[in-house]
Amino acid sequence: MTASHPRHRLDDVIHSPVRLSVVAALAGVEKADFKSLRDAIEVSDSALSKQLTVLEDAGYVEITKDRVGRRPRTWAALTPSGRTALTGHLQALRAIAEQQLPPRVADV
Amino acid sequence: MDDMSNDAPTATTPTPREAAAALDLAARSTARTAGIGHRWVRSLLLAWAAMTIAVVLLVGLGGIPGIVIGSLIGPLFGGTIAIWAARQGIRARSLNGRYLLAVVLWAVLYGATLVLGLPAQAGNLAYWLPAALVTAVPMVAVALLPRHAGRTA
Repeated sequence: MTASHPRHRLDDVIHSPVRLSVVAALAGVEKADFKSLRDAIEVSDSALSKQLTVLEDAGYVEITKDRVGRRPRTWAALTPSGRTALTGHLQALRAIAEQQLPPRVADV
Repeated sequence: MDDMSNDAPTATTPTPREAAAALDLAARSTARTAGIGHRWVRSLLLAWAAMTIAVVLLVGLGGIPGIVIGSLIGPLFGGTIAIWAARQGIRARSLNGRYLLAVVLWAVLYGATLVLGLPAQAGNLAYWLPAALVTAVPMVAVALLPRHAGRTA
């Protein structure tokens, strides 16, 4: 078996669109709280909670908690391994998107 | 042939169109959070700059009442923006370095403006107006700097 096809470099954990959105959203910031992340990627509380658990279990996201006044707040941040995984996944997607696209009409 | 067949796209391999859509989704997600993080920091810094101009003019041109009011407004404003900043749900990348640089430069300029101006330039608009504007420059400059590249990778 060869690993030349870029599909071998796709990351199974962040292949899901919601999880890809979460790690990509976190890649642009130092950290984001649950509410801001939910609003940014437009998912329900339960869906985000479930996907954050998967990402945390994979070591891609770090979850911390603090309080604003009396209100608890949950923060999510991308870990170095999460950033590495995202980089590799996006490179694989680029390779698939670029290498296999049919030639443009102007190039034919 | 085995190698080639193993390497062929499978049902779970995204098509080029799906891969491009996923890349677009990732880019939009990154840009959205990075933009939110950048906007509130920019607002904070510009408000800080405006307050700096007001306080410096008040202290320099307002006599004793101006010094008293300016001394009250400064900490009140500082406390308010600290609470507001703590409530923001997104922390921008590269915020700490830029923010620290702006605060240090601001503190040096603000201190120098007051130390040099209060003993000898009280009430002199020709000193306090440019001094107020110069003191606000670090906050405005950092606020208007292009944000950290919002690339996903």
